[in-house]
Amino acid sequence: MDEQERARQLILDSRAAAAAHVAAIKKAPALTPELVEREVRGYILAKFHLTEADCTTDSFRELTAISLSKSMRLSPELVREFDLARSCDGTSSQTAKMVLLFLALQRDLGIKFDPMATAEAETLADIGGLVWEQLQK
Amino acid sequence: MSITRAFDVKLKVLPLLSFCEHLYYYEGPCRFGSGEALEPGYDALSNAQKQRMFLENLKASAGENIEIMDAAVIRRTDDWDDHESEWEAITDAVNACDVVVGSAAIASDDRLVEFATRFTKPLIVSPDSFASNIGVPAAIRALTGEHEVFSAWRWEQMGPLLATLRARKVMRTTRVLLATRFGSPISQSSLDTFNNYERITAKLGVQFRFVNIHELLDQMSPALPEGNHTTPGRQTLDLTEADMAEAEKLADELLGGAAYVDLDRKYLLKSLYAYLTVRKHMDYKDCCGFTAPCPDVCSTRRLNEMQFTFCLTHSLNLEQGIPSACEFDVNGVVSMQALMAVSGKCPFLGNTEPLTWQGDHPVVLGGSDEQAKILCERLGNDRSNVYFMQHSIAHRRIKDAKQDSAYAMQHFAHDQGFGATMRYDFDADQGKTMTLCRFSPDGEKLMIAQAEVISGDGYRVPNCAEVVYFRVKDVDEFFDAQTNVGLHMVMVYGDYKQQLIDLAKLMGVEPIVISY
Repeated sequence: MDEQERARQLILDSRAAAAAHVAAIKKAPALTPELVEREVRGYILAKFHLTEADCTTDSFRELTAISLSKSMRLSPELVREFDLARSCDGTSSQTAKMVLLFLALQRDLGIKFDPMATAEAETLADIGGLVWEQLQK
Repeated sequence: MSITRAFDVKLKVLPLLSFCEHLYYYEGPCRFGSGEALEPGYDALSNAQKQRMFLENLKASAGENIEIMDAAVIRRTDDWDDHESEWEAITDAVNACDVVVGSAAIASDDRLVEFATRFTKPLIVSPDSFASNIGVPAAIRALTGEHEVFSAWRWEQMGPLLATLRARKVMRTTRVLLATRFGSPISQSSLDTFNNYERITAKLGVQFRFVNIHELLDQMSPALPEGNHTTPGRQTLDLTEADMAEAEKLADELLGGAAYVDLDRKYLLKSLYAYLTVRKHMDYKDCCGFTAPCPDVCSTRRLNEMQFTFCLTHSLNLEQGIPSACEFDVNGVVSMQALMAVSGKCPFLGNTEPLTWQGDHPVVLGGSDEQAKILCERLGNDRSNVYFMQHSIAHRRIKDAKQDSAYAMQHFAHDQGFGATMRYDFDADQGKTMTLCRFSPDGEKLMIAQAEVISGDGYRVPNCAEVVYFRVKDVDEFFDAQTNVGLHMVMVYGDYKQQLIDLAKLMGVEPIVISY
C-alpha cells in the first residue's frame, strides 16, 4: 500500500469511527451525560486521528495541536511556530481545525452551538457537555 | 477623590472586536479557504475562537494596574449592513475606557478607521489584526484632525505600550499642592523649576493647586475659636485632637523602629504636625504631590519659631508613593511622579553634582572622615566620573517599595536641634543600578540617566547632609545634560531608562538619555 493509499484508508477509517460514535448517540435508548461525553470524546479522537495514547492532555486546544503535529509530522510546539499560513482574515490552521470540528458535530448530530460557548470549551469533556445541552433542546 | 497615588492608577482597556460573517458560500479574491470553511455558520464559530484567543493574549500582555474591560464587539455581514445600533451599543464602554485595543481583519477593519472618526480614545491595533495592523493605522493617521493610533505586530509589544499609556494617565491625573510665599512659579532656591504652569498642564496634563504658606503654617495647631491670624473668622483645616493623637502615635512608631536616633521627641512631634496638616490639605484638594519653598519660608523666621522643617513630610510622603520635593521643586515632584509611574518604586531626590575633592576628602555638605575613607576604598585608584546626590528626604522604602529598610531619625538644625529628618544608609547598596531623571524647566525635555551606587554619607549628620555617591559613565556628558534640566535629580533603583524614554516620547517630550 503506497503512502497515498494509506492516507485514503486512514480517512475512511476515521470517518467510519466517527460515524459509529454518532450512531451510538442517535440510537441510544436513553441518553445520559456520561454516554454523550464518552461518545463525543471518541468522535473527536476519530476526527483528529488520535488514539488514547496521544491524549497526554485533556485540553481541546492542545489536542488540536497534537493532531496537526501528527498530520504535519512536526512537534506540537513547532505547530504554533509553523502555523503562520493563515486565511485572509487571520484564522490559524489550529483555529480552523477546531471550528471545523464544531461544524461537523452540528451537522452530524443536528444541533446548533452558541459560538461563544464553543470558544469557552476547554476540554473534550466540556464539548461533551455542550453537545448534551443541545441534545436536550 | 482624595489622594490617588501613581501606584493606584489603573488603565482601563477596552477590547474591541470587529467581525464580518459571510452569509453565502462563495470564494474569490477576498475569500480563501475551502469546503465547510466557506459555508454560512463557519464565521460565527471562527470569530468566537478568535475573540477568545485575542482576549487571552491581551490579558496575558497586561501588567500591573492594567484593567481589561469586558469586550465590545461590532458585527456586520457581507451584506455590508452597518447599523448605527452597533456603535450605540459600545458607546458607554468606549466612554468608560482609557484606551481601546482593536482587533479586526479584512472586511471588518474599516470599522476601526470609522471608530477613530467617532471617538477620541487612543486606539491600539492588535497583533492578531493580520495585515490590518499596518493598513488601519496608516489610514487613521491620514484622517483630518488628530487621532491617536498605535499598532503592534507581536504581543510582546502590547505590555510595554499599555504600561506607557498607564504612566501617561498617571501624569494626566496628577495634581500637585504648592505652598507659596511669593509669586507662584519660582521660589528663591529652585530657579530651575517649572516656569509656566499653564504650559506644563497643556504638555503633561499635570494640574496645580495652591495654598498660602502662612495660612498653612497657621493651621499646624488646633483651631482658635476666632479663626487663625491669616484667616480670621474662617473655618480652616487646623489640626484636631485626633490629629494630635495621631502625631503621638507616629512619633512612637518612628522612634521605636529607628536603628539610631539623634532627635528630641518634642521636635519630632512639631515636624509631624506639619506633615499631618499638609496631608489634610492634599486630601482636601485631591492632590497627590506636594512641595513647599524651604528658603522662602525660612526667611520668614516662622520655621525657627515653630521649630520644624518639611523634610519629614517629604520622607513620609515619598515612602507612601506620594511625590514630595524640597525647595518648591515642582519640577522635582513631577519628575518623581514620572519615575514612580514607570517603576512602581519610591524615589529619592537631592542636589546632584559632580564630586570634587580636597585631598582625600569629597567636597560635600557634612561629609565625615569615616565615610570619606569608605568612598576612597571603594573607588580605589579611579576617582573619575563620580557624582553625588544630597538632601535629607531619604526614607524607609528606597530599596524596596513594599518593605521598610533600617533607618535613623536625625535632627536638622545644628544649634537648636529642631527639624526631624529620616536617614537611610546608602552604603549597603554599593553596585546597585540607579535610574535618574528630571524634566527641564519648560517641560520640553526629560533627562534620563543611569548610574551605579558607590556609597553613602551624612547618615549621622544634621541638616541636608544625607548623601549617595554614584558613578556615571562620563561626568562631563552628565553635567552638560544636567545644565538643561536642573540641580535636583530624582532617582530609584533599577533600570527604567527605556520606560522613561517611551513615556517622554508619548508626551511629546524630548528625552536626553545618558546611559551608564
